[in-house]
Amino acid sequence: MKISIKKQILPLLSFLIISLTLMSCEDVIQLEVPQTEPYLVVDGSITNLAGEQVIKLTKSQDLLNLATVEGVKNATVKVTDDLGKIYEFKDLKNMGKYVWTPTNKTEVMGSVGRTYTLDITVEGESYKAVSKLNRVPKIDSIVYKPDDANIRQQGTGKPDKGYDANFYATDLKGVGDCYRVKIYKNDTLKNTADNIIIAYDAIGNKSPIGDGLAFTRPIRRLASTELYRENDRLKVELLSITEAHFDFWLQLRQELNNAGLFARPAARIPSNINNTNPSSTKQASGWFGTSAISTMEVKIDKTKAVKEFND
Amino acid sequence: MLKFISKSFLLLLFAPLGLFAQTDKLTVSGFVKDSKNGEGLIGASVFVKELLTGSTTNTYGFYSLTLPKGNYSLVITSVGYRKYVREIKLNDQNVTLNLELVEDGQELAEVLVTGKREDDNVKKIEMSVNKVDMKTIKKIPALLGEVDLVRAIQLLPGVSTVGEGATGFNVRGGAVDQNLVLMDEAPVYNSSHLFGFFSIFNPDAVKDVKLIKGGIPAQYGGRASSILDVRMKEGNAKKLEINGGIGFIFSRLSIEAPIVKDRASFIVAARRSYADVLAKPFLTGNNADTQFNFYDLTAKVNYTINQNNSVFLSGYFGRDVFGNSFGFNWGNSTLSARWNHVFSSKLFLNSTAFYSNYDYLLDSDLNNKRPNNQFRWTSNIRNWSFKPDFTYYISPDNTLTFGGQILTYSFTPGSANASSNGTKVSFGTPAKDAVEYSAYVGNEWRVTPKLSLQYGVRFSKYDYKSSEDVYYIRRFVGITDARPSGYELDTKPNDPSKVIQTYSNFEPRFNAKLETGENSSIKASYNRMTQYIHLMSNTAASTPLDVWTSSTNNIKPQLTDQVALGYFKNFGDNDYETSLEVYYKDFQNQIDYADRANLFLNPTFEKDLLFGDGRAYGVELYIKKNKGKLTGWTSYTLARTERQIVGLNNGNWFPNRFDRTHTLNVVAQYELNKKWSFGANFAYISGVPYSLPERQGTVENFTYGITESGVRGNIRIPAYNRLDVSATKKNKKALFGKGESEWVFSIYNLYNRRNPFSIYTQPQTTEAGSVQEAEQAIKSEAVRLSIIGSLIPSVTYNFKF
Repeated sequence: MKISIKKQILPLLSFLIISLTLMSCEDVIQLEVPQTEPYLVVDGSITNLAGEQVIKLTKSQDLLNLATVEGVKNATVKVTDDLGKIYEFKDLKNMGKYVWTPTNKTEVMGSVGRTYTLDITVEGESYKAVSKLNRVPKIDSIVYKPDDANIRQQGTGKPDKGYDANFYATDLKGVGDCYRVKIYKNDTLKNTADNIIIAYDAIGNKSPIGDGLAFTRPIRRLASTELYRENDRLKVELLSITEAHFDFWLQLRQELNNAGLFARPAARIPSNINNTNPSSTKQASGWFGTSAISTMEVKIDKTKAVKEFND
Repeated sequence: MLKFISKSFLLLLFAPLGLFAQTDKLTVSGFVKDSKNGEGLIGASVFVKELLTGSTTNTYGFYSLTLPKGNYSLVITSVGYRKYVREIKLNDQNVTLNLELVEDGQELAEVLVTGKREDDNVKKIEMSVNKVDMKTIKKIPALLGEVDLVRAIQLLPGVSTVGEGATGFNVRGGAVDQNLVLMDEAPVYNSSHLFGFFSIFNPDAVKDVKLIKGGIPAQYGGRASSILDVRMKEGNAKKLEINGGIGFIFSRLSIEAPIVKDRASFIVAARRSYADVLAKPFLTGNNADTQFNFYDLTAKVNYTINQNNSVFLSGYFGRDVFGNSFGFNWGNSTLSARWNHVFSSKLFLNSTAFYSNYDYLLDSDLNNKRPNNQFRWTSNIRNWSFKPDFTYYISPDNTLTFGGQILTYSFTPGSANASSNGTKVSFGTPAKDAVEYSAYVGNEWRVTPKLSLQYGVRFSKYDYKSSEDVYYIRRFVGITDARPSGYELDTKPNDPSKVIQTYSNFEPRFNAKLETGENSSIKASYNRMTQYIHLMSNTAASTPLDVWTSSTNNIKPQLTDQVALGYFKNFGDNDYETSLEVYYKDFQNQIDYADRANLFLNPTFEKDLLFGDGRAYGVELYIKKNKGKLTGWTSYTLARTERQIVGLNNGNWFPNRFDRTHTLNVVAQYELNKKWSFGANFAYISGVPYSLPERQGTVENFTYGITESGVRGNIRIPAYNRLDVSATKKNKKALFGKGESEWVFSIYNLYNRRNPFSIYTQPQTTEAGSVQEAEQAIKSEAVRLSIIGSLIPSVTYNFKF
C-alpha cells in the first residue's frame, strides 16, 4: 500500500534513467580517507527465545578499510532488567563475543514488557544502553505461487522461474508497534541491504495510518526478494523492535542504498549506546536491541502453491 | 530603513518626469516585424540619426519615440536582419509606422554589411543578462542531437548545475527553485523531461530566450535568483511553414500558418520520444506493458484586431510517463491569454491572464487489477493569475513601466489513497492556498548620453491559508537521534477560511550605466528579490517528486539582495564583445533538512526543516566573437556559494551542494561553406562538495558509516571536463524536392571520459550467493557514478518547408 520513496521510488527513477539511456556507469575507485581513533561498536540483541544471548563488541575502522573487524576484549558486560535482575555476559572465546549462558535448557532471558539496561566497562570508559522488549503478533501464513522473476527479483544466481512468496500477519492494535522481518532461505539469512525489512505498524513509513492493518503488500511480498525453487525451505522471522531501533534500521538501509542522482547527504545512523562521559573522545556506535520473535517455516511444495495471491 | 528606501525611490522615480513637460513634441510608434513570417521582433533598435537617440522594441515588437517636430531618418536594426532606414515627417500629427525587416541572407559576403546593433551589450543599461539566439543554440553540439535550451543556458557565465542529468540549473549560487522560468509569461515548475536530460521547450517553437541573473527590473518578481524568460513563436503570418526533425530521442513536427494573412496566425508544435516504440518488440512477459515516453505540445494563436489591439492565446502541455503495472507520470501545463493594447502612441499595455499547473501521479495499480491493495498518490501546484503591464514612453530619454499582478496558488503537496486487504485509508499533506499580490513601478532614464539609470520598486504581499483544521508552531526541544531537527510541533486550531500568515515586502531595484568610451561602459546594479514558494528537495539532484510548498507561519519567504558591478568593452568593429562582472548575493531564510526528514505525504514535515542564511559571490568573464566564419564564446566563472544553517555542520558555513569553484565553457561554431558547418564545445567544471563518514562499524554483518549528524561538504568530487563536436550538412532540398533540410552529426563526450556525478560508498558486490552464505561482514567500497560514461554519437535529420 504505502510506497517508500527512498526504498522504491528513487532507485526506480535511477533505474529508469539508466535503462533508458544505457549511458551511465559505476566504477569502484580508491579513495583517500582520514585515519581515525576507533569507537566502540556494539552489536547485540536480547530475545525471548530460549538459549544463549550474544553481544558482540568491536572496534570501528577507518572508512573503506577491508581488514577483518577486531573484537574488543577484556570488557565487563552486564545487562540488568527493570526488576533488578542482573545477567552477566562473558567473552568465552576471547574474541569480543560476549555470551550469557542460561543455567538450564528452559531458562529464557528476554520477556515481553521488560526494559533492559546494558552496561559496558572497557579501557576506563563506561557505556550504557536501554531498550524495552516489545510485543509481536504471530505470523498467519506463508503463501506462494509459481511465477517469473520480476525486475527486483532478477540477478545473477537467482532463479528466473520459481515460486513467489508472501507472508501474512496483522499488526497489533495500537499505534507505534515496530517490526523487523528476517527471511531465511534453507536456513541462510538473506542479509543484503535489499533484505532489511522493517515496518511501522503495517506499513514501511512512520505514519499512524497503518495501525492494526494486515501487513501491506509491499511488506508481505518482501518475503521474496528472489524466487524459491521446489523443496526450498523458507523461514520468516518477525521481530518486535523499539521505535528507536526502527530509526536505526531505516537510516542504515538508507545509507547503504544512498547512491546515484538522488543521493542525500550522508546522515548519522542513530545509536543507543552512550558513553557515560559525553565529552570523551571514545564514543560508541551500534545498537543494543530487544525483540520478541514469531517464526513460521514452509517447504515449497508444488501441490500447495496457490494460483494467485489473494490481493 | 525600508520606509526611507521606498520614499527616496519614489522621489527618484518621479523626479525626471516633470522635466519633460509636453510642448511641441510628437510621437512616432508602431511595431517592427520579420518580413518573412510576420513575427514581432524583440529588442530591435529604432535610432533617430539626427538626434543620436532612440529606443528599442519591447517583447511584442512595439516601439514609441516622442520627438520635437521635424523631419528625421529612423535607422532600424536588429541582430540577424538587414539595416533599414526610413525618412519620416513629424510635423503636425503623431505617426504610426509599422516596419518589416528582412533577414540577413546566408551569403557570407554580406555578413560585413549587415546592420546589427552590435554594441548593445555596452550601450544597453541591462547587465547580468544573457540572450541566446535560437539559431546559435541550434548549432551547439547537443546530447543525442537534441537541441536544448536549458543545456545551452548552462554554458553561460554564472550558470551551473549539480551535475549531468540533474533537473534545472543554478544561477549565481541560487538553488534550482530560485529561477522563475516563464513560458509566454506563465511560470513552469519543472523545466525538464527525463530528469535533466532534456528541457521541456520545443526548439522549433521558441522565438526568444533571455536569462536575467542580476539587475532584475521591477516588472519581474517571485523568485530569489533569476528569470528565464522564454517567448514562443507567434506562428508564421505570411505563409504555411512546416518544421520537423527526427532524432534519436524525439521526433518533432511544427506547423505554422496564417489564418488571415498578416492579421492572424497559429503555430502547433509537438514532440514525442519513441524509445518505447523501438523497444516494444523486445519487451515480453511481465514487462510487456512497460511504458516510458515523454512528449510536449505547444500551441499558439494570435489575432491582430486592429492597429491598437492584438490578442494571443498560447498553451503548453507536456508529460513524462513511466510504468507498467504501476504508473508514474508528471508534467507541466500552462495556458496564457494576452491582450496588447496601444492606448495612445505613448502608452502600451499588455495584459496577461494565465493558468499554470504542475502535477504528478504515482499509482501502484494502473490497470485497477487489485482494488483491495492499492496505492495512489497525487501532488500538484496550480496558479491562476492576472497581470497588467503598462509601458509609458514619455520621451526617448524616459520610459516608465508600471503594473501589478494577482497570483493565486493552490498547493496539494501530497494526497494519497490506499487500501490493504480491503481496508481503505486516505492521508497526506492537506491542501494549502495562497495569494500573492504585487505592484511595481520602474523608470529608465537617460540622464546624459553617457549615463543612464533604471530604478524601480516592487511591492509584494502574500496571504497563506490552510485547509486543515489545525496548524502548527515549531518549538525547539533539543537534538537527539530520535528527533534530528530538534523541533517538535505544537498544534493549534485553524479556521480554514482565515489567513494564517501574511508577509509583505518592498523590493527595490536599481541599475546604472556609464559609458567610459566609444566602446566601453561600466554598469552597476542592486536588486532585492522575494520568494514565497519553495521546492522541498533534499536529494543531490531535484526529482520530479519534489514538492512545491508555500511559505507558512513557520517557513519564511526567501529574500535575496544582490549587488553586481560590470565592465563591458567591445573590440575591433564590435567583432568581440567582452564583459567582466562581479557579484555578491545575500540570502535569507534558506531551507535545509534534518537527517531522516520526511518530506512526502507528511502533514508535519515542517518539524524536519532547518533554516539559515546563504551567501554567494563570484567573478564572471565572458568573451564573445560575433562575426566571421568562426563565432562563439568563452565564459569563465570563479564562484562560491555557501550557507549557514543552525543544526548542520556545527553551525559553520558550508558549501552548497551545487557549489562549483571554476566553470569554463568554450563554445565555437565554424561555417566552412554553404553546405557544411561545424560546432564544438568544451567544459571544465570543478567538482561539487558532498559528505562522507569518517569511520565504519559493523552490526549484524552490515558495514556502515559512522558520522556525526549534519556533516556537510567535507569532501569534493573530482573536476569535470568534456568536449562535444558536431557537423551540419545543409541540403538544398528536403522531402519531395521542396524546402530545405539538414543532417546533424554529433558526438557528445568525444574523448569518452567518465565524469563523476557522485561518489558514494556501498556494500561490496561479490559473487552472487556467496555474500549471504558467508557468516562474515559485507564490507563497503567507494563507487564513482558517471551519468554519462561513454561517448555518445548521434544523427538528426531536420527539415523545413
